[in-house]
Amino acid sequence: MPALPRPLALVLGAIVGLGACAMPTRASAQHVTVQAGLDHGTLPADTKHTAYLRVALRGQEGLGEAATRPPMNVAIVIDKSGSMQGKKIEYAKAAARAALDRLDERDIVSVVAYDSTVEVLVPATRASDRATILRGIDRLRAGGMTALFAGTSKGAAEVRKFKDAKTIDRVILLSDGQANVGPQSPGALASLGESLRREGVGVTTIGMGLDYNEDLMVALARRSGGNHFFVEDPSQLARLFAEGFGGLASIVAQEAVVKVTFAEGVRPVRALGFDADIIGQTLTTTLAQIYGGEKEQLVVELEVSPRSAGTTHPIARIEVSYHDVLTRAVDRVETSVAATFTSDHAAIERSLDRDVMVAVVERLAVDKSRLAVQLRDEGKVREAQEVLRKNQAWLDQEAVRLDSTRLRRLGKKNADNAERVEDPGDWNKTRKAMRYDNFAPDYDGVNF
Amino acid sequence: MVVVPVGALTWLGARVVGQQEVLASHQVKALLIDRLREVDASIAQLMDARERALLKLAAAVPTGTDAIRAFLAGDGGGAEVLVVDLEGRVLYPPLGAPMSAREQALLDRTRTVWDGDALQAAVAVNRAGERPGVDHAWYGYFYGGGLNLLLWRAEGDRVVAVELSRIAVMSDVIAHLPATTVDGEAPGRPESRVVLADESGEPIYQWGPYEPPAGEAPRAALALSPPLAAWSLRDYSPESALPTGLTGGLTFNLGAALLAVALALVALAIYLYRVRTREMQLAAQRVSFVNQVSHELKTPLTNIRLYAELLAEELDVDPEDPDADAGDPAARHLKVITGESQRLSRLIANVLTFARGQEGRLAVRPRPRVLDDVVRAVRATFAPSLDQAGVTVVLDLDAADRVLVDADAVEQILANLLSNVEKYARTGGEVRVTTRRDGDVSTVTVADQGPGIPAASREDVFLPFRRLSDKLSDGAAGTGIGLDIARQLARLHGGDLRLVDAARGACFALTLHTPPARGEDGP
Repeated sequence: MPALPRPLALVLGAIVGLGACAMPTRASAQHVTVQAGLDHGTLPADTKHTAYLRVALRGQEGLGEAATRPPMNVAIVIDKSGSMQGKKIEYAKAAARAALDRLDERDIVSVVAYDSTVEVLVPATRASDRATILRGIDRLRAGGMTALFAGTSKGAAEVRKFKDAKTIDRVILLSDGQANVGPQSPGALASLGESLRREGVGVTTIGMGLDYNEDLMVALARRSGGNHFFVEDPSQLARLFAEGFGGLASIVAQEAVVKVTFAEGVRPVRALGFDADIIGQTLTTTLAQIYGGEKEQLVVELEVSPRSAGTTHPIARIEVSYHDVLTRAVDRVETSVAATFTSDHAAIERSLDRDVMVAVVERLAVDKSRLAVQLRDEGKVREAQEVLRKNQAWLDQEAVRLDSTRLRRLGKKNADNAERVEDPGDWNKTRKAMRYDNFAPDYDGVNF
Repeated sequence: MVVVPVGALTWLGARVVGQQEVLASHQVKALLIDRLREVDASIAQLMDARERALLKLAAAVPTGTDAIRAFLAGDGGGAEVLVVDLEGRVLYPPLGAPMSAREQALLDRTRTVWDGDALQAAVAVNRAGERPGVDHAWYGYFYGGGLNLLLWRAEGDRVVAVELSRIAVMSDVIAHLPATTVDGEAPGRPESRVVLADESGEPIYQWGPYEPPAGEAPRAALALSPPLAAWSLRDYSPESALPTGLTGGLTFNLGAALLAVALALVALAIYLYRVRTREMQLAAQRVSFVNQVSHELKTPLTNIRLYAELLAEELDVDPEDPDADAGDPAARHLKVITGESQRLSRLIANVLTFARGQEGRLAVRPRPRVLDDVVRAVRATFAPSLDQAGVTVVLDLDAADRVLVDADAVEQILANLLSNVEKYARTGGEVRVTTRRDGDVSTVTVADQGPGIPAASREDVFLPFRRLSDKLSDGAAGTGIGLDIARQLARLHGGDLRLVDAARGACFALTLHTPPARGEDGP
């Protein structure tokens, strides 16, 4: 399995103006915990200041095996184009069988295969009907072109058959190639992801080998609210599926709507690494799901107006509502963040929240890494290298300051990539790894 | 003396063969186009459903930016909506005010719609045009390399347009169309490939196991119905899958024809034999097509009925009871399910009757019955759906004698006529069913007050697979075999089914040969 990711953090960065002291607050409602705070709880007084707000949502762990877990409703969509011939298709079959082992009689599964056209090998079927499903998987043969858009659409059609308010709905797309029949641009697949997202169907994309189009697979997964995985060696597929389905079973909440209302004098500048609607003083974003035991972090960059020393001002109010998949009810959590303003620099230093700062640094560094990919795509190898080396230097420095192994690891990766971008023969592989890292969630677990 | 007749025969034979080839090729093409039309009709049905859903959404969009945002984030399900007024002002998204990146992106991609008065012009044309009072329509615009759709709905001065993105339409249509059948699942199905292509001819979706060689021309092509008229369907079939061979036909050896009359007669016999086989193949092809369709309809219907029965048991309701839905939505929904499955049963009965007709196995079995009773029974079956369509049934019955009549055939004929009323004359007020008996002939007339049938199409409606392609039949579902079957049954029954003159609407007159019954009652 490719190297991976740290926790996917949804951090809302709040900016703080003058000396501010953010009071981290915690609220818990049943299965999701919401925690919000600034990078520094105390901010410098009498000056305009940039600060970061982080909102972390954590799903309760260990509910995935519970008897009450919601039914999973998944379509496994397998690329059977000519390039899958041989071992790859056998590994894909093994992965589909491994997935079946993680499902029980509550769950619904379908198997769809596509080349130039689409075949529904197993229409949406209860997972307990193993013989039928295994027979369908056995029929899989490779040959033909790659109608990826149609395959995904048909997978979604199978999922729709049994979709209801309490199911966890997923299309799991496995491909080793470029889409070449039907809509095939990353933009078109991103729109498809968005359209499925509105219906509540997530797409997990798995790229195999080195020939698939990572931009397309990343865009489809991200916009649908799902995750993307990159598997260079197909023999790892079955393990990935087994783990990924465990992650799917652990989901505790879906459609978590996070609304942040910023206080007067606090301007949201941008959302770091996640899509959000920012209108005036409010920021809204929706998380498709929260996995048990994993932390989603939202980081928002803020600009805080000057405030006089010794005062405390509200920064933001955070309201989260989500569908609890276990109780099938909508739960709401509210919390708020305030900051104290001071001229005492030592007090500001002391108010540093390391966790928040690490998340902020990671996101800023990922932004740079995306820029490096873009430069390299334009053929500007030197410039890309320079961006990555600077990134590494900054990450190393922050790793020491914040005493973070995560940042040290990330710095090392940037250094390695700075070497690799030079090698044109290796660029295809390096680019996949970089795109993967740049869009990977924060957590180390594999969650479909 | 020998040469002349043989030569003449040969020449004639070659000509006939040539014409037969041309005829067969037309027939094959018509068959393939029919197949594509069925696909188009099912896509049109899907688009109708989308239209209804979006129309409902458009009607629910509130006024005021904040209210609209709240609506879209909640009940609106994340829809993309543009609101303008007839003066050309954009009311939402709030042009010039702070807005989200998503709202900005919507404005960017729909610039040609709101910047200028294109949408307003479409509203004006529609209001002035053929459909006064219908203040909504699809609006197509070009963005992102192809056609995109908005469904607009005007109310007074305000026009709400809901986006149906190109990608969403594609994905929906793909989900709706058939997949390639898996090897060994449907033996005997003709191997072919159908391609749905976008405005530039690029495939959006395709199905069928046949892989046409690059550069092969389609056997048949058909543009989709509006609003997707820029897209088209293409059929590719290998030679072997076609009902008759199109090439390599009979090549008469003219030299041999000169040899002897005997030889010419043998050739002629062979020719006649082959022509006949060819016709039989074509007929068999059609019959197997309908049988296939009916087979595919049966499975879902069985399920629907099974589940409806289970549900009725669970809910403890009687789906036949017209009052069962009083206040109980579940019972009401159940009635809809029951009604729809009955409709499907009729459809399948039609198809199977049609197939029997094609094979020449259609027959009627008159038994002693009272014609009026048969009419009343059909009325009872149709009462709920006609009620819902706003059509009142008026009975004027005067055939109360016991006669020899095939009640099943009469029921099927009347069901086809009434289901046409339900489809095409929905707002037609009433339908009048009259029965009369005169000697051995009984007459049933069914007169509706719907839009009627143009004089020029009077006979066409009785042809199989023929649906009048005007606004009337757009959006109404149907197989196009109902009236053909109805007429066949009427003729077998010693009568006929004709469309007769009426001051208003369509009036069908069914005549039946019904000698008086003697002795015991029929079942």
